[in-house]
Formats: sequence, structure tokens, C-alpha cells
Amino acid sequence: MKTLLRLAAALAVVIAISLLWVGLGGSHRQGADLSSAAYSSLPAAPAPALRIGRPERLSSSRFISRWTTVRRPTLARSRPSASAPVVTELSTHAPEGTPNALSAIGARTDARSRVWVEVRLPVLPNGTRGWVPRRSLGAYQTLDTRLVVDRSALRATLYRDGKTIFSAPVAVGTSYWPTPAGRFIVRSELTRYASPFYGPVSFGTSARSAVLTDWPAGGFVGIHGTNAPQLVPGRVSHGCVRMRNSDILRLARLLPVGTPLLIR
Amino acid sequence: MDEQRDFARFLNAVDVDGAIAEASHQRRLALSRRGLLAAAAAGAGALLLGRSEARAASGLSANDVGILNYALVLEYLQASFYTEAERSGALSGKTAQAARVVGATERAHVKAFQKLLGSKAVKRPLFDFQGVTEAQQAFLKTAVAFEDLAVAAYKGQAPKLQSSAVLAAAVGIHSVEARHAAWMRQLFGVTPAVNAFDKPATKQNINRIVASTHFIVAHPKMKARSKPQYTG
Amino acid sequence: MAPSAALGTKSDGQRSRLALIVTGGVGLAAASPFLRPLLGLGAADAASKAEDLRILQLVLQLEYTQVALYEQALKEASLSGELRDFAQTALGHERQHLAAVKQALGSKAGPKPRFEFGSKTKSADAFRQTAIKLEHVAVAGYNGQATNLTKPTLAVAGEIVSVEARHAAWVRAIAGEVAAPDPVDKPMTGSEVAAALHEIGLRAS
Repeated sequence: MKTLLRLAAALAVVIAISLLWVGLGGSHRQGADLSSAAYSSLPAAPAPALRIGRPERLSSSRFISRWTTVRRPTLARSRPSASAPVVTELSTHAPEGTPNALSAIGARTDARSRVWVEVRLPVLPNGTRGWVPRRSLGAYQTLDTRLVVDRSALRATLYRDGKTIFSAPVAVGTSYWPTPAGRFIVRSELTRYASPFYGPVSFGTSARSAVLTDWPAGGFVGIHGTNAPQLVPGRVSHGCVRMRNSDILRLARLLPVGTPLLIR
Repeated sequence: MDEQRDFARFLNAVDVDGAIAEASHQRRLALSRRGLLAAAAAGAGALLLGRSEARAASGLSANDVGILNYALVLEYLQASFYTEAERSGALSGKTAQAARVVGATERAHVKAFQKLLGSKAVKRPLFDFQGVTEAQQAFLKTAVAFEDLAVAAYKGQAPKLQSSAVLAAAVGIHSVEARHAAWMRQLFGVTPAVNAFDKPATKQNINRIVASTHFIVAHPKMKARSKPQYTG
Repeated sequence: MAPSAALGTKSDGQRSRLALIVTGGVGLAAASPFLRPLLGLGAADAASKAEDLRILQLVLQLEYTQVALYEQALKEASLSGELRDFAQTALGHERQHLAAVKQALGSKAGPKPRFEFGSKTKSADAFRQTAIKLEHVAVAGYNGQATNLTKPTLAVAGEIVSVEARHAAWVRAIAGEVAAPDPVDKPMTGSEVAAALHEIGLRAS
């Protein structure tokens, strides 16, 4: 019986090979013909549908900045450590109702392999920084734009990759309600509200008035249009940066939210 | 907690030899739950959920456009991952060098896919890498997983392509991703080639694994209609 | 046509023999990944399957060369450290590739060729450079035939080429070269592969 089974198995192998053989009509034994000619009948591959260009290195980081949003309410601490003092609480939304955007300026890994991110905080004194756990933050986005407000020249300039792409005269705060100096972020864009005082569009920033500390919604400085264009340029506001409506509309086409803001 | 389990499962899914689990330290990475649904709303997820384009782009069949867009999402994922890692400045030595080269390659892949697909190209999703681009070991572990994933994904789709010109392009990219996989594995300290035969993965499996990372998130809406309350 | 169809089923005894034959056929197919598509009742016509076999003859030469190179180098190149590791691992994989291709071709498989590697397998440096070349040829060769293969055979070839690409990257990294220098791996034609194999040391038996 065993012999029969072995024969049957052998038969299966022979039949399989024979069927292959017969099915393909080949009866000559193909020797190891290794000449190139033996394979010249094989078609060359067609031109590929995707043409990959030359890989390029990243551009310099000189004008690159990074921003993110607060994904979960969290505590910002003075050092990248869970035992460091708390500087402030951070909520997921800015007073404008938009996701709370923060400039991310560095990261560090602690002894327990957790990533901490250094962010600029929208608190007084202006320029305060703190560390938050990476998991409290959302996706990073990178930009190469930078907005500079010069309080002595009364000018706002937008740079992209280091080049000027927008410039306009501005009105800033009076000496009683000065526009604060420092590094901030453009964190929201408000439109289609009915308020001629603020013009057709306004940008929220993380800059805070150091004097109007009891102001509703925290006393944040905005960049906006105006219904008093004759006051631009000038030192007339409660801290906000005002520009003529045609200029703010032009700026709105060029300024992405998340852009770092330097007020000097 | 769920999210950490999901990410661990993602790594396990592509960890064919258990090497990633063995060689890594315990990491606790929290991930966004909103990610995939929001991304689906934004359109990137629609592609992942398998709805292919009805019309062809530049002579390509709808079938091939669908496969190309599927590959493009994976290329976006990789390009963004390496770019963010390089910009984070957390990598050093040979790993930093490799990330620069591979990142440049993946960015070139993205450009090529976008050019071929034109208006039919799926838009670049937003990725929240939750720290894996900011620490060298986490980066390597994730890079190994991504590259092994890309190899399996391309392998799974190649036989389904209808155009031989697209197939010719796909195989040339597939082997480069395999090189990347070996490279990252070698840097991470695990064997660059585990088996004699690399297995393909189905679109469903790849989609499931990518979704489980919660790396794809919705773009935050930074514009609103509320009345300004600035100091004025 | 499946082997079982060639035989009728009548008695219990015959049925158990049939079961064995079917199992044998399945077992045979399982033994080589390539046999499944070639034995299968796929829609690909005989001409394409014939071309698959012609391509597999070339692949056979390629895998014979890889096995031979690694075997010889491990014997005489004084390999150590990661390079030795690489050679041993790659050899194991190439042997599996070779077995798969041999079984797919069955008695049609060409005989084992001779090799004249000369100094290429006599030192670690020379071996390393040759391995880099050969793995590159493997990747380019498989990629070059992808559009010529029937889909089922393409699927199996796909499982192999990425492993060759891993080898290629690995040995380049060992040599201190950029593991993946190009954004896309360009194909080589069958003739180019044959010529490259000859240059490396493959000779007719």
C-alpha cells in the first residue's frame, strides 16, 4: 500500500510537470545560454509614467517658524519637567473662539523620554515662555512669513522668506496705552463681523496690553482696519495696530495665521 | 490610553520580527482621536476610505488614479515625517544624514505624483506626529515602521495597475522604499532584511494601520466671525 | 488542468489515492511560490506564461550567481563583523529564492553554471564592492522585467525584489556609501543583466 502511495505521489509530480511542459509546447531542453542575445527578445521596460526630479535639500531655516494649537487643556511650566512650577494654564481656544495658536520655539526630551515643547505664552509679562507636554499640542505647521510692526517708523512690514511682500503705515497705541514690544504670534483672523471700528477684517495676536489688564477678553492687541483712516499713521489707539481698510484687506490676502509677529 | 495601545498596535503590525518591540524603550505617546474622522471630512480620509476618482487624469484609468492617490498619501506621510524630523533638529550623526537624503527623496516622489495627477491629486493632509519627529529613537522606530509599511503597500497594489508605464514607475519606487526600510533598520540596530520574501499588504490593512496612528488630523480653522474684543 | 482531473474517482481506495495526488499537487505548488501562478487556471495566455518562464531562466542565473558569490566569499574572503552577518543572511535568502525559481522551472531549469569570480571573493573589500554591484543588478533586473511578467508571477517577483533592495542598501551602508542614492531604481534589460552577470563571473556550465 505504501509503495502505491509513493508511486501516486511521484505520478502527481510527473503529471504536474508534464502538463506544464505540454501546455507550453516546449520540448527542447533549455541550456544555460547566458549570452545577452538569449535575452534580447525580452522587451525593455516602458518609459515610467512618473518622472522623479532631482531630490532637493530643505531650504535654510533662517526664516522658518513653527506654530501649533493647544489640543488639550494643559499647564505650561517654567522647565521641561512635570515637577517644575506652573506658569499658566492653557486652554484649547483663544478668546476669539479660534483654536489657541502658539509659537513653538524648541523641544526637549526628559529623563522619561517624554517630549516637552517650549512655547511663547499669551500672558503678562509679554515675552513669557513655558514648556508643555507634546501630547497637549496638535500638528506642527511651518511658515516662512514674518510680520514686523515698527512703532517708531509707524510701519507694518510682512516678509516672506526674508523678502518684503507688504508694507503699510499704521497707527499704534498712545503713551498711556502703548502697543507692547516683543515677539508674538498672529493667532486668528476675524471677518464678517459688523463693526466699522475694526474695519473689514482683523487679526488677533498674543500680545497683551500691560495697562489694560481688566479689559474684556484679556486686553489683547489686534491688527485691524479702521473707520478713522485720517488717524493713520499716528499714536492714537489703546494698543491695537490699526491700518487703512484697503491695506488690511491687502494684508489679509498675504498673511497666514500662525505668522510670528515682532513689535519693536 | 486607547491611543497608546493603538500606536503600539501600529508598530506591532509592521514589526515582522519583533525587533522593533525588543529594541525600543517603553514610550507613551498619546494620539488624537479626532484625527481620522476629521481628515475624512477634509477629504484626505475619503481617499483612504477607498473612494477612487471617477474621471481619469491625463489618460490614466480611474483604477490607476485611485492607486496613485493612495500611494501619494503614503508619500505625503513620509515626506512630512522626514521634513519635520530634520527641522526639529533632534537627529544627529548618521541618522540625521539618512533623514536628509530620504526626506529629499520622498519630497521628490510627492512632486512627481502631484505633477502626474494634476488636479486629481489628493491634497496634502495635516500630520500630527506627536513627538516621534523630535527624539532620535522614536524617529527611527517610526521610520522603520513607515518604510516597511510603504514597501508592503506598493507591493500590494502593483499587480492591480492597468498601465504598464505606471507599473514601471511603481516598481522603481517600491525598491527604493525597500532600501529606505533596510537603511532605517540598520540605523535602529535591527536586521535590515528579515525574510527571503517580503509580504504585500492590502489597502484595507494599510488604511487601518495608518488610521490607528492618528497622525492624520484636520486643519484647524483659524478664521471666525466673532466680534473683535481687542483693546482697540 | 489540475492533476486530479486526469484521474477518475471510483472506489474508496482510489479516492484516497486521489486525495494524495491532489495534496501532492497542492504541496508541489506550495513548495514554490512561482508554481501557483504557473499551474493556475489564470486568464494569462500560454505565450505570456512562456515569457514568464523565459524570464525565470534569467532570474535563475541571477540567483545562482548570488548564492555562489556569497558561498565563495564566506569560504575565502575572511569576512567578519557586519559584513559577515550580511553575507550569511543574504545567502540564506538567495538560497530560498533559488529554490523557488528552480522548482518553478522544474526540469526546464538550466543546469548550475560555473563561476569565475577571481579576486572578487578573495578579500572583504573586493567582495563588498562586488556584492554592491550584484545586488544592484538584481534590483534593476527584476524591475526591468516587471512589465513583462503575468500579474501572478509579478506578485511573487515583487516579494523578492524588495529583499534584494534591502540587501543592496545594507551592503552599501556597510561600505559607508549612501544606502539609497537615487530617488528611483532604474531598470536593466535582460541582455544588460546577462552581460553584467558575465562580467561578475557567471560562465556557462
